[in-house]
Order: sequence, then structure tokens, then C-alpha cells
Amino acid sequence: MKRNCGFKSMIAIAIIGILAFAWGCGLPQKAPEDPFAYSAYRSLSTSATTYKMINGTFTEMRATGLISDAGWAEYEKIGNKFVDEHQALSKAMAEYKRGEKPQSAVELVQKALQKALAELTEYYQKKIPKEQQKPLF
Amino acid sequence: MNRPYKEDEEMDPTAIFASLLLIGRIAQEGPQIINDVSAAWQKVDPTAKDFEALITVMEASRPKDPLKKQ
Repeated sequence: MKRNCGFKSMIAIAIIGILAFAWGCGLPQKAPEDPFAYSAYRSLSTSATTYKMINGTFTEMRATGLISDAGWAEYEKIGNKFVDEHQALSKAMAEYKRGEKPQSAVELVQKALQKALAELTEYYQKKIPKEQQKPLF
Repeated sequence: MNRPYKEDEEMDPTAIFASLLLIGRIAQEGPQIINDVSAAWQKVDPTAKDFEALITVMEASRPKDPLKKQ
């Protein structure tokens, strides 16, 4: 029998409480008029938060000399690619909201961002030691 | 007088350390992450300007080499 199950239960309850609070905070107060725009805005904001966490980790490691010039150049390329795709989708969504672009055209840009995000997170998981990795959204 | 032995009172030091590390990380980074994400999720009807604002935010967040003098 495990000895520390009481302590573990307390930790589990605390974590569930934090997650429930976060979920409650995230609930919209009313139904969105444009679910496509709402969903795109949420995913843009969430992926931006993920990118900022990854960028913070790489910048911190570079500052402490743990990433070489070549390693930083490689990360910079992947990071900039993600930012470019993120900005492309934000621009496309702004045009969609003004009625200048159809939803189908925006969906193509969305796929490109998903690919860039997958590449970025994969690179992060490959290059950053597991004990220094932070949970990603 | 000896107290009766209770298994639950004994804690594995590794589990304690890992839990404290996790709580510390949530305390340090959680509120900001929760704030960022919940603020975005509560914006039910984003406008064109809201999307354009994201372009500016991301431009300021591009990778910057901390070892390179500005």
C-alpha cells in the first residue's frame, strides 16, 4: 500500500480546484454571434501563450549559455516562422471580419498555423531537457 | 506514550519535492497564463481591431538573442 496517499489526494484536489477555476474563468458570459471568429480568437490567443512560454525558455537558456549560436539560429528560424503564420492568420481574420475574405480562405491559413505550431512544440520537446520543460497548452 | 502508526502520515520525500515544485510552478506562472487565456476566452465577439492587435503583440514577441547587443 502506498504510504503517502493522503498527501497525494490533497495535491490532486488542489490541482482539480485550480483547473476548475481556470475553466470557470474561461467560460463565455454569452453565446458568440460569430462562433468561427470566437474560436479563431481563442486559438490565436492560446497558441500565442504557448509560443511565449517556449520563447521564454529558449531565451533564458540562451542567456545562460546553454544554447549555441547555431542552436539559437535554428530556434530563431522556427520561432519567426510561427510568428509569421500567427500574424498571417490574425490579418486574415481581420479581413474576414471586415467582409473582405471568405471563411474558406481563412481556413487554409489556419492549417498553416497549426503546422507551424506543431513544428515549434516538437522542436521544444526535442531540444529542451525534460526537467526544464513547462506544460504546454 | 507512543502514538499508533498511521501509514498516511509518512511521506515519500521525492513525492513531496515534486509536488512542491509543481505548486511553485503553478503559483509562479499559473495566474498569468490563466489571466491571458481566460481574457481571450471571454472575448465573445472579437472585432477586426482585436485581431489586428494580436499582430502588434506577436511582432513584439519575436525571438531576440539575449547575447546580441542591441
